[in-house]
Amino acid sequence: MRQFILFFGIVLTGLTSYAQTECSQFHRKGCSDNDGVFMKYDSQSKSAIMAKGQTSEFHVVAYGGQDYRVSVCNSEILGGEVKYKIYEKQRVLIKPEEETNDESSNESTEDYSSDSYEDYSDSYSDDSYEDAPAGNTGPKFKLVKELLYDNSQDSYSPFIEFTAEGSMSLIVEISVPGEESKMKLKVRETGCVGVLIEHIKSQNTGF
Amino acid sequence: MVLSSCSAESKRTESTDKKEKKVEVADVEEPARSSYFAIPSPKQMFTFINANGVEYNKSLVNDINAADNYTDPSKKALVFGVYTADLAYVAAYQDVEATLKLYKTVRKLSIDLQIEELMTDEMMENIQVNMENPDSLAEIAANSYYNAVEHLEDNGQEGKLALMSLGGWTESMFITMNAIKDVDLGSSAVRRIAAQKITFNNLYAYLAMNDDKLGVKEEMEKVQRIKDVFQSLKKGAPSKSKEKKGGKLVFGKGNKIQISIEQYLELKSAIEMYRSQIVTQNI
Repeated sequence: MRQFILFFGIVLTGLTSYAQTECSQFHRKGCSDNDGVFMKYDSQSKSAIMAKGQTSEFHVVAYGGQDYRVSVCNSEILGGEVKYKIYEKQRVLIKPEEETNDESSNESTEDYSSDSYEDYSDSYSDDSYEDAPAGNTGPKFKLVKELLYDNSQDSYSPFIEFTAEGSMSLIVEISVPGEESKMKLKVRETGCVGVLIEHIKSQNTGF
Repeated sequence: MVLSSCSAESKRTESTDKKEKKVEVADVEEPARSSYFAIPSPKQMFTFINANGVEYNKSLVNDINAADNYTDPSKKALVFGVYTADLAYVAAYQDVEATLKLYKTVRKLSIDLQIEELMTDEMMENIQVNMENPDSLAEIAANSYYNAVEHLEDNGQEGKLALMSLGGWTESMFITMNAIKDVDLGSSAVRRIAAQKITFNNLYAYLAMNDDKLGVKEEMEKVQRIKDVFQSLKKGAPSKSKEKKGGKLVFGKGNKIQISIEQYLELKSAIEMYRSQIVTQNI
């Protein structure tokens, strides 16, 4: 029995590794069929294996003075309506009178008073040292994720083009539709999702 | 370049014992909410500074002859990042001779990282064939970097990848800041350096998620001075950053990261000090 489990584990590990390798170039092949203007390939582009019902966050930097195109594509097995949202991460000081206020519906926030990377526990605290005090007794900050774009509000467009006027820390949040399977083995329910990022220097227009 | 980590597996070690294998199987059973941290490749930085008039300075790349002398595993991964950044630099500035030499150096180092099969004779021949085509040259050099990243990621070697990324980023900053002769705080190149605050955040987050692997924690301690400088850089007041201008989406209005000359010089000094620690050979 132990040998069987070990064999099964090795096979699954092999399958996962194979799938990862198969997926690693997916964004180069599957995401570039739009008719937009030519832009340069951005090395932040990435493909990953995702399962139905899964949400992933992709942290990227957009440099000021550049136009960007972000294209999201996926394997057919994951369906035709993969959602993605683009947020900007910003860290702002909480004024005392604001601490009890509700947040705007377009923003999600997370409060914390520690700036220690040793306390790192989730994907948002990567910006947590900025302007932060030592220890837990200083002013409180909140990390604001401002929603910039939601493709479900744009007919599930597979790509978005935008100008980054200033440099920004962005999160591309990708959600694959469907319910998470109750099955333990999900090999058949996973597929590739690619995020192709392209950029070009912004052109100044007008006189 | 993209650095990834699933939250459920962020503390997975590179060990290959049975227990660890079991964790990998669990990852297939329960896909977790995952986070991916992207770091623009060194090529992107060098293409940018080249386009913005920063002159080439070949003397800034690390000594090719020193490549054989690094023996410590974590240093090898760091130095691999340094040399791949050097390769991207000389290729971006169309120095064919240096590109060929550095390609050989990077290839040699890749054997230690067990990724030598990604850097084939065919790629070397491509460099020679494309000597007259600078764009292809830079592309071939960049591909060796992407291939290394993908290979390390696909094979669960996040520790090596984190160190390689740190070495590559440090070298790209070292070269860029030393290649800039007159510091103009309003120039595109200096603005891009200030914007590395965001890139460094993502890189540091990835290091933190892998701090139990191959010397990563030690390197995190060594970059505290760099972290402190970036921490001191202020960003313009956050404002609603979405705007439509002639039908075009514009994000990030007012998001300028401010850097003073003192901060610039402190950052340069911190980068130089850390880079020196990386390239200093084992005793």
